[in-house]
Amino acid sequence: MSLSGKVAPSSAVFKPCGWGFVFLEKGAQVVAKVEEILSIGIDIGTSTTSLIISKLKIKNIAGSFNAPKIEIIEKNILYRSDIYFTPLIDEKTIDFIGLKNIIEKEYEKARVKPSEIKTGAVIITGETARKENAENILDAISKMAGAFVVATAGPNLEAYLAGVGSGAAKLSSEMKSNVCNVDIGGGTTNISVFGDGKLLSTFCANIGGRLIKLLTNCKEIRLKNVSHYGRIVLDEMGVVAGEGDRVSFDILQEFARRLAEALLSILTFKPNPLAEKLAIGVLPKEPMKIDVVTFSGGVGRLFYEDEYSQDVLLATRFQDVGPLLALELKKGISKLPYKVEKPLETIYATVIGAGVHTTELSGSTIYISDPKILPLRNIPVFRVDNPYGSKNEIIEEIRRKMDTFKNAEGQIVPALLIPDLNNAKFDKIKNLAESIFAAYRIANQRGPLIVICESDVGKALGGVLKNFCGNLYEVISIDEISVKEGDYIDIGEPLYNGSVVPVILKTLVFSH
Amino acid sequence: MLSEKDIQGIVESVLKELNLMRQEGNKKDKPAVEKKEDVCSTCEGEYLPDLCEIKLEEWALIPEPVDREGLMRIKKNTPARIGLWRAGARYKVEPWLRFRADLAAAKDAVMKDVDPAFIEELGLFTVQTVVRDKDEYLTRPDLGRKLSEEAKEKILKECPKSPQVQLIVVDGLSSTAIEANAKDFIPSFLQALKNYGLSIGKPFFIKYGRVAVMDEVGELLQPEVLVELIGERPGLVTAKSMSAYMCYKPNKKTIESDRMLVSNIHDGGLPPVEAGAHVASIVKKIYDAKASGVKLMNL
Repeated sequence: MSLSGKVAPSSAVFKPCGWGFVFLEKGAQVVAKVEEILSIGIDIGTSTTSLIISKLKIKNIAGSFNAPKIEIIEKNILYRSDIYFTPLIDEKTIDFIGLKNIIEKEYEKARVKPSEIKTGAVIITGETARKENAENILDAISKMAGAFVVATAGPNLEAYLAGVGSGAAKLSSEMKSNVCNVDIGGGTTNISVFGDGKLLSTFCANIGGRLIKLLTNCKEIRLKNVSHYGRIVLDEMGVVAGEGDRVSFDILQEFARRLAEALLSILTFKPNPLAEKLAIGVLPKEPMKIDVVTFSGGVGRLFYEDEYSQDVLLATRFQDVGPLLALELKKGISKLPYKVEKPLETIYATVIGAGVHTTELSGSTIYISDPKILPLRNIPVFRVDNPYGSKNEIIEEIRRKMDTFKNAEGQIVPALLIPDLNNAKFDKIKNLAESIFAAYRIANQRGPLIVICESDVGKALGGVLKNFCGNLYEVISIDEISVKEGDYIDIGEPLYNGSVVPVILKTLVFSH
Repeated sequence: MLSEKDIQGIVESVLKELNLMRQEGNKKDKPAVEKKEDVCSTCEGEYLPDLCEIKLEEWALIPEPVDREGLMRIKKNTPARIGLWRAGARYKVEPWLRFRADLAAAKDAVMKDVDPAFIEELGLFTVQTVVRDKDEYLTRPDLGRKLSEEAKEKILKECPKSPQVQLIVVDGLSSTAIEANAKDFIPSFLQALKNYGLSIGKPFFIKYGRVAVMDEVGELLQPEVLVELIGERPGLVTAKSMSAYMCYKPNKKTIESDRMLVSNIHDGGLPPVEAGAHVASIVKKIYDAKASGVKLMNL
């Protein structure tokens, strides 16, 4: 079933071309190879599920006399799925078979095989992430979707993905102003603020178009389903009606008005009492500079495109309060001192963020002793604070950090983050490598040995490490990726003749 | 040419003048050095600010720009001397002094010799081309490509023939570049070669050499792959940039398209440690393919 009628797939004729499809592009002077990979994004949201397939073009942009600098030079969306209602067995369980059928059907329509998909992300968003089998579903879907498709969830990450996917991030750098993207779905609203293309803040609340679901016909409106947060709003209004009860259209309008008010109070950094009750985490109270507001998500689309009819049947055509919420927002936002812009993407924003903007490339001079051990998933990052310390200091620090991780999670394979080695000297790197190896041996740590360098020394450090490790550990040493302690990363199979690896960051990085 | 002392004298007098002007209340125009100058005045002019410490990418002197943020964003992309304003049709004093200082560093890099103690520390022996002195070196590039008879004898005596990889270090046009980078490049390079299972002959240093001197070394020692570290012609951004040239079996018939190059090796470009590992991986490719340069790329 399609929520919004037919959504035409991208007009470009789609020809599948998997990894390894490589051609030469003749530039004016340099002939640099362009490699193409397919990336998928799947968004399983509170009310809807959708997927997109995109093509990332990778190219060495450095001149021929320099060390390579391989970057993603182009991102094109090849296919957009229909938008489906997220299949549920009951209020607590996601229907895996239903979900699997949707994804398989869409792969078929896009004429893509999972084996051709090289990267991407599956995310479970909003209320759905709290279903009992969410984690297992996420895992199962990411495995069937393609070789290196990762599973992520979390409202702050979603807010970020919606912000980059909608185009708000780019808008903020083009307009040189702070842009606030408000992604309103069925169960949650994820807000992200960008300044000059960089993420400044995210915050989230349980506000959405489907906090209550309706049963409507020509004669009456009944409440089919009231979510936990829907109940909170109804209580605030003093409405006692519950599931199955009749409600008036006035009540629905009032419900939408209260939600809109709460959301607008969040956007002005003065959250009202209802907003506090609906908050996910902490809502900011320190005013931030915001110049422009964009709306995305299902309700975001209605905000820009709906006809705003007061007609009961039209306003409740989705059996929820989404259109009414959009209408109330439209009325209320004009009172705020923000300029409202329409973003490039609305309802597809989060899924585009997941499919197109999650993959990063490592630096282009890296060391991987055995590519066959890739991809690696869910690697926790911890930082070696003092890489220039003495052997004992470094060993001590690594062991201490490994112990804390061990206690928390059993034997895991971590990645060591090596902070900027300003003007790295070879003897220092050798000392560092020897210490890391010793720490691993003493702790009887499981391999492979993974290091992430902030400065461009990945290949050098990796080689030296491998020399110490011999056959005991495989070594992966990558550089020029911005991560921090406590992040989780996935590392994919090497691309571009083994020159780079794709890395997907699971945790949010604020660029302050 | 001005001596270092002369320049220092000029710098001192000009800066004194500048400071006087500042104290007279011209506080609007504030370059990145101002902080330093405050420190100076408290030291009663004992120390002069080092203009060379200013990052060119962050140095903008346009008074009251309409969009400072935008200007700084443009500046960040290049060390080129843009946005430094002007006095009439000329540079302002500070950018001009900085220009002179960078030019002096570039000239020094060309004119100075690599310190023999440094060569010794690297464990290299030294040979010379047929060039007799710096002047001849600069005016006769052809001679910088020929080894002296004495050099040939010494090389044949010291070095094993037909190694898999031969490394040579050549002063080229920047002795500074060799002194700044070779020490970190070489051990990283050797280490990485070892990982690839490649053996190396005995490396040595060539004084007054040009890139193509590798062809003569190739004829003498017959290595499979030759790697030559050479100081790059210095510019106004850095005098420390080193190149690594690579060639499969260089000889008298070698043409330029047979050579490969990784340039821009210095702390602000490709760090020497990383360059060592990177060059080793290219050497491995050359060794396996038995070809280098355009021939390798067309395989």
